[in-house]
Amino acid sequence: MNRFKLKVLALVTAVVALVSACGVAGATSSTPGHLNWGWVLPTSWDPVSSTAGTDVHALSMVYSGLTKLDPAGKAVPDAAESWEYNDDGTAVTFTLRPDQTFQDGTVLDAAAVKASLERGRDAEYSTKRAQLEVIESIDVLSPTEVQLNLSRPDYQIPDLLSGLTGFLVSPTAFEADAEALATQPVGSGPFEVTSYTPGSEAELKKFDGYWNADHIFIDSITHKEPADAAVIVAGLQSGQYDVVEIPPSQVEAAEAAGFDVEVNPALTVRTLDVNNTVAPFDDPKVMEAINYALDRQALIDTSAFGYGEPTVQPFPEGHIGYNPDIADLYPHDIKKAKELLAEAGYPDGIEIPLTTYDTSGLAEQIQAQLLEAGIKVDIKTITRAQASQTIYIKRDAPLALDYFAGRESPAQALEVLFGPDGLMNLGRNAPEEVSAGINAVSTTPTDDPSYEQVLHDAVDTAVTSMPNVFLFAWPRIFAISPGVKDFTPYIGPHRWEDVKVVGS
Amino acid sequence: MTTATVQNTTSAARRPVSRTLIAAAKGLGTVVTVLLLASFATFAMGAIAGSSPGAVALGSDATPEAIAAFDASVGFDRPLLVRYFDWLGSALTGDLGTSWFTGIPVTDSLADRLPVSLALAGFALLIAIVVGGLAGVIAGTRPRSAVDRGITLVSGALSTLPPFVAGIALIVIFSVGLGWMPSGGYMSIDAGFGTWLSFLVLPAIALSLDAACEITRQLRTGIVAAMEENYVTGAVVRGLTPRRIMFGHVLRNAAGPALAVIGLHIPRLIGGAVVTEAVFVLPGIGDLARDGAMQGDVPVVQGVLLVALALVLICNAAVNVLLERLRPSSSRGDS
Repeated sequence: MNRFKLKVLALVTAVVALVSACGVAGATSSTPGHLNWGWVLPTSWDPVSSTAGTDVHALSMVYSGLTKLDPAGKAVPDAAESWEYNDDGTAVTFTLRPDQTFQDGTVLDAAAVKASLERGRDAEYSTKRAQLEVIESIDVLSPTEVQLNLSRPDYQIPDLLSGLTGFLVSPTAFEADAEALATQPVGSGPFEVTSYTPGSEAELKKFDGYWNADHIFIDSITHKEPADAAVIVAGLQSGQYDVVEIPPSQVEAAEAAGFDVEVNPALTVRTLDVNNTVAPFDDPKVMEAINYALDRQALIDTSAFGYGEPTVQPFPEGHIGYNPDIADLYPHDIKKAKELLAEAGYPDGIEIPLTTYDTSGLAEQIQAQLLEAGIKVDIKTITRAQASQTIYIKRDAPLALDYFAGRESPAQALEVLFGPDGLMNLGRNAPEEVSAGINAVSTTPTDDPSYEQVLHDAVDTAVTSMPNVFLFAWPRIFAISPGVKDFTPYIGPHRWEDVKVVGS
Repeated sequence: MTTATVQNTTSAARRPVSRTLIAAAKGLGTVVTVLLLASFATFAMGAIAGSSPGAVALGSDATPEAIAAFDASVGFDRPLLVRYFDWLGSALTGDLGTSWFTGIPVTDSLADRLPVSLALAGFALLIAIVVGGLAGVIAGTRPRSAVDRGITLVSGALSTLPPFVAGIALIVIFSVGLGWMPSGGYMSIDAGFGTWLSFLVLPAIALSLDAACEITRQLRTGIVAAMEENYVTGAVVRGLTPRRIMFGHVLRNAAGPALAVIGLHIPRLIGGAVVTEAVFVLPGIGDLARDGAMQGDVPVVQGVLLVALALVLICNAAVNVLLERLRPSSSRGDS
């Protein structure tokens, strides 16, 4: 009867041996010209119906816009070789590069641009309607000239159109079957999708019709969902990825395994949205006290393993909108926070609600930090599905832990955060000088020498007179295998021009 | 096919075929009722939550005007009952609609993810049957010995572990400590059988514990009871080998309760997969259900519900048939 025990033991041993023998290996190491890219797969391959800001990094492989962002986040020519505004900034004419086609052979001319942008502005299912509202009408002046007529002076259009909002989709494709674009995109960008398994991976190959194909040295891409944090480094080691986004917790392990780690500033920033029409948030002193009571570096150290930048403003360092003069506006100062609270009439402390849909523990850490200054936080948790409705639409939460994914257009970013109609301005009001500052950004040509100063002034005014609290900017972190050369980090949508995979 | 009309119900009730048919019809009635109630509840909950697909999908572009347009595009602006019956009508023709947030047809998502979940649940079931069966036989053939007590103690302790606790413990031991297995993620079988299996072993073990322990206990009890039956004594007297007695007689009668337990555990395996897939980052149905529920993606949640219920129904039917077949007396036509 001991044979039973032996059999069990033998079976267990065999299974363990089999599994550990072929363990986590089994993938190929990098092949020249082929890139294995680990990045979250898009919610949709159709830019107009995409529901996540991070989709832009996947979709920028497949689509080109009239413009694209350079590594620092400045709009530069893409499908359009140049553009020109009229004298008062109410119309902009883009001149297209000649002889461009979409991946299905459709000609990319002014009429196609008009059709594509109008779908983004008008389609019921479009998630980009609000952003494209400013475009009143579109005129086709010639096959290579398209004029956008605006409802107000706005020099930010080239920035606005450089991401999901302005990606050009083949009219042939969306007129035939717009729903199919979710899984079978047809753009005019550097790569075309050859197969796609949602939730698993997408295969892409180089599109030779892209105007800048000479600068694309990658022949094919396998774009796959990054594995769980704990196995990402194992995946890198076994060649599953050449470039993969990794969580901050895995940086040390990736470096120890011999991979380059690129900490890449991005437009994402953690915020507290505030309704300044609800007491006690209507008192600027209370908001200042909250700002001084927060230890931003400690928040980063705990919730982001130290990868992030404490910030009090919307744009990350390295972006044209980053204003160095206000960088140290709110040092961590409990004493000062208490003084401000006393001045506001709360010498014995104060109790405030904080709404969160985030379960990472950040809200609890903020709660602990504010308590030191005598601010007792009552956390209310809502589901992610209710978040937009509760916070932005019904405005049921006077103080909400949120994040801002950024915008290609600095003026639109300021509009969302601080504008009188801005969704993340829960009080839906702004002093005259804030609106004037944002307006000055829109109405200053972006190549004007004064533009940077105008933007900095607008940021300064908004940050010092509005209640929005900024916590920290968090970067995208990539682990890169030694076989990848000339990898370039981008503040905005990620791009692959000039990147080579030489194998390893 | 027997059509049981009013005149011959009494005689038909004695014929096994129509008994099976009546049982099947009852089962089907239950499933249809459950499905209708559950799918309507999903719809109603979405409505009560006060969330709208437009508000969720648009994020920081969610202007009231844009939300209204988006909601209209997915038909969310119609009354609840209209939306429900519209969904029901399409579902009957095999069209489960498209996700509100990805635009991907729900049937496609289910087809992509079902193999992962089936592999996981199937593997877990296999482990439960093999390990639980062996342990049950070992314990049952040596009642009240030290081995029996040990097995009973261990299975009692392990069965109280929820899959996520077991999962985390397994990760700590086998992935972090020993470095033998990946701690999560998934690669399809195309990447190689060993690789594919390596991603499934730990989650399957975590998911199987509960069922394995239950099978062990039931089988042990069944065997102990069967060994005391007269036919076993008779078989021993006739000089049959212990092995033949065990597999030819004892197990066939003793396995009934254990099999019934398997039937009971199948829904739990499917439900437990939601948690287990989350711990081990497996792109299965459970993962889809969780994402859908988090976003309030009603078409996706409805689709998952439908598939889960169908699975439970099919498995239960299969177990019932097996139970009938296994009893030696079943071939004699009396019961």
